[in-house]
Amino acid sequence: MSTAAYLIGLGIASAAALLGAVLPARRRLLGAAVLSSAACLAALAGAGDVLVSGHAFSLHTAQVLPLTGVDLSLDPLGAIFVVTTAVVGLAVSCYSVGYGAHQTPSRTATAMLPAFLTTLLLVPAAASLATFMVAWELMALASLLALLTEHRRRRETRDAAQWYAVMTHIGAAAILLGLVLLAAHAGGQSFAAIAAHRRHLSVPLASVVFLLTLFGFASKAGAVPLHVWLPRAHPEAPSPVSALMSGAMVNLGIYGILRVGEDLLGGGELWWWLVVAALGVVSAVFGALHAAASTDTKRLLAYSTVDNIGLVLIGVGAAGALAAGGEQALAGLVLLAALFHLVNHALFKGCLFLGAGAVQHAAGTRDLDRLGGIARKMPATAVLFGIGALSISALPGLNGFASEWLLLEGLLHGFASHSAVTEAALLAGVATLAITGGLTATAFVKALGVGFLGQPRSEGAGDAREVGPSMLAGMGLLAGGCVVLGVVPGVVLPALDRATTAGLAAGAPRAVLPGLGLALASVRGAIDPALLVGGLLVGIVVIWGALRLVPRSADLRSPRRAAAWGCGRELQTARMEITATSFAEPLQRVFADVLRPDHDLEVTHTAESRYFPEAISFHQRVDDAIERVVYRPVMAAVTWWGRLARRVPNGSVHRYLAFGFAALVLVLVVLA
Amino acid sequence: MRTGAELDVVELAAGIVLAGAVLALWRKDLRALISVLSLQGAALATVAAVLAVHDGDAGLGVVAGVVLLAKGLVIPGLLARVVRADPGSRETAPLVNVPASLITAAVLVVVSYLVAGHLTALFPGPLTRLAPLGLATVLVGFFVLVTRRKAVSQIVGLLLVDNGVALVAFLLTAGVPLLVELGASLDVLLVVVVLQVLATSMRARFGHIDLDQLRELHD
Amino acid sequence: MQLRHVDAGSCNGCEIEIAQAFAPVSDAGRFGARLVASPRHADGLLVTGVVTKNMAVPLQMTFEATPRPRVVVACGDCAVSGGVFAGAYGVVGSVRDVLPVDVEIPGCPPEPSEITEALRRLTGR
Ligand code: SF4
Repeated sequence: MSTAAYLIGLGIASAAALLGAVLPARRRLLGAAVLSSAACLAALAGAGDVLVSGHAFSLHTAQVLPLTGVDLSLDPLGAIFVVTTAVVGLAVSCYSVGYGAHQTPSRTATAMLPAFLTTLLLVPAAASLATFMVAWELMALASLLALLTEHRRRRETRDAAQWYAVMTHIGAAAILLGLVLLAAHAGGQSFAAIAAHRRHLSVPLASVVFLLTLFGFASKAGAVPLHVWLPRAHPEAPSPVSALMSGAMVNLGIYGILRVGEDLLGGGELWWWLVVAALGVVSAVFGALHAAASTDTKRLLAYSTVDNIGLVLIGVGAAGALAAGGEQALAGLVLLAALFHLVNHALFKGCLFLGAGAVQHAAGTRDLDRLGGIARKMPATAVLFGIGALSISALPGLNGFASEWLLLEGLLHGFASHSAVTEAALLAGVATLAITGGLTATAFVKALGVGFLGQPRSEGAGDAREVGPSMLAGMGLLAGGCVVLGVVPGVVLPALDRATTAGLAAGAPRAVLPGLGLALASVRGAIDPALLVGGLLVGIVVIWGALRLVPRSADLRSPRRAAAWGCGRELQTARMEITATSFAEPLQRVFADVLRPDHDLEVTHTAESRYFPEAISFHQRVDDAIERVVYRPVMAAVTWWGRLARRVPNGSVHRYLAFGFAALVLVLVVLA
Repeated sequence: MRTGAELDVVELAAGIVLAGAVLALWRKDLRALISVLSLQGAALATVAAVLAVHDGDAGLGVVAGVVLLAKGLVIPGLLARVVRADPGSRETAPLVNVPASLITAAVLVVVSYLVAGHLTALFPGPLTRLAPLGLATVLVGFFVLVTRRKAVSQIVGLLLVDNGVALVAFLLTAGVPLLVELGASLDVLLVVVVLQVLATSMRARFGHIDLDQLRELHD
Repeated sequence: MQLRHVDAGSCNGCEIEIAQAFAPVSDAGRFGARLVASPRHADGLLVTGVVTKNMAVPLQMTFEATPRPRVVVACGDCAVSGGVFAGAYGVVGSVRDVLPVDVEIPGCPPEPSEITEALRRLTGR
């Protein structure tokens, strides 16, 4: 049953891509959206069944790919990713109807979204090297094309696409190299064969394979320092695509690390996982800092993705380290928390990207310094974006809190482990969780406060209108998910538990007790968000009622209305409000060493005296320091090398012939 | 077994092929180059003919005739017409001067003897001993291609390569299939015809047929 | 008694004396008077200087923002009657022309002890 549902899902999704390409302009948007929603539902049913029953399915067909055939198999670990993708995909499909409504999107746009979705659903089920690499490359291609569908003529978009293409292909090459190396020594290219053979691998070989694939998967997941494509690609992609990229695609990087590290290589060495955790710590802090400093909504969200993926990587790394130390129960708990956070991140980040897209759609800008007052113009969008922002800031009662609580519990309980190095890593993880928590809250107070409250700072923001019902429904689906998983996280924990068990090489005992709240099975610790929220609601009702009942003084009975206190100023314009840049300024100063902001101050004086400035212009840009320090020199070196190489062919026939001649003689001499 | 006289003839002819290639490096007069080429063609045809007589292979006999006709007469004749249209043309300034070219040729012959050791080991026999001569012809022809400027010298280089390949083929396998040899000869013929057209129009356009000047077309 | 100080157009002479009134020698604070940063936190206003045209509306807004019950203290000759600036251009009038004044402290500037004494009358200590 699950096999059929999943395959039907894949089929419908590809049909949607086809229809998006061939249907006439009026119908293709709706046709593709309806079909891809159906595909998501079918895939959801198939993968959900795997999760509920705990039984993996697998099938092999010799037809589709020549020589190797296609191997598909969905175990609970892969199913969790398929389910996440399907939920985000459902919301995105729904949203895309409204998003494309006011200007009919091109054929490529309507075709690429479902195509991207298909590949996203396919990757977690690939069960052999060939199938996996084909699916992985198709995903890279589809996402690249999908990224380019909107404003492809803009310089920034082309730039972003180039960065993304290069990063993703370097990554794919590393993965291919690692997996081929593995398959060559494991006597088979199907994952099952490799996994069965894992005991016979030598440690150095396994380590090389792990590091190569880690490089590739980390570049897809957006871990620092391989994250440079994210803050470029996410802002430039159409919002449904950025939501899919951030909500589903980066997850697959995590999937790859787990699949190769735990499943294919069987857990391996302790230091592998410490490397993963270190990547996580760096990513989380760097991402959170940049998110707090960004003024472009989608750039902020992209950096926040780097931050959250960092947290997940911390969890994965800690779980791997604990498992390598033989602490299965604790490893299971931490991995469960990491997977839970991954799912939650997909929900709230999808919601936030769709919300940012709605605002951009309505106001024509995504620059926070030019937004403002959106809450009054687009109340529903504001509420949904707000739910996403509160979730990501991990406020109790929403899903971000549930998973971060679990992660923190797992990391803290991990101190009982017997390895000092692991303990140090866990400590770093806890500290990171604390600092990124604060920074994320700052970033989203900024996004909400500056973007949605106050007065509009530009004409576009002033003329913004609420977006249509389909877009709201898309966001609402994800925001609803945030609330449900926040209040009753217990509903998904059994499924996550199965995925965790499948995700660790040595398996893991149950990490949580059944129930609606969060109750840890292996160690002490429990919290019930439903009680928390319920108690809060009851408290509010009681206080409100009490205030009504208690007799009050005359003043309280007829309250006086007065304008908000604004220090007595008579004029209030948008230019007097705090901007995103000024909000982030103190943080920027504190972390100037990491963020390295670029200032540009220009003062023109009056002719009479230098004491009287006539005009002051101030520009500030926060570029990615890693891009400047790591990538620019490499790019400069490549360009230099290219220039040098261009001098070699100068158009002389004789020189070309001489090259051939020299090569021939050289080969002969070498042979002789 | 082959008689000594037949072997002697083949050895002599193969030697002439290589000597022709070296001569082509030495002489600057384009007309001399063409006579060298026709001599080489004749020698090659001799090799084929002797083998044909010895093996009683009629096909090989036809090949010998074709080689004589194409490489000994038609191609040199066509080239001579190109040269005649541009009298007094000499390979004035080769990229590598003649003494250096000759030394290089000596080195190339040594290299081909070194390399051909592997080849001759495959088919040991009195004929395969001569294979290095063909290989050396190929290398020297290539060297002519690289270092000579005039379009006619280039085509001579190409023909040297072709002749060298043919010689090796004759010696190692006692003959390329008829069809292949015919095709190759036709190809070369075509190249010569094209060259003639090109050379004529180049002279009309630039007043010379120096390939090195073509660099200006780059960029 | 928490007071929000408003400079409606003073020469800053009064401000210096107010600062002295809260400094260690007089220490109006020990009698329960405090200067606060926002009218929302205040029981009244401590207004200095003549009310200029630019400050008339902000002064009224500050008064509006002060929760009831509230007092208005006019500190210095300018605030009480216009003082040396009475009738000057750009001047609306004394504080009494704009707000209901409860306590007046004459003097140009009034001495710290006089300010303290007036505040003690308000705090009742
Ligand atoms: S009363 Fe005197 S000291 Fe006070 S503000 Fe007026 S002029 Fe200045």
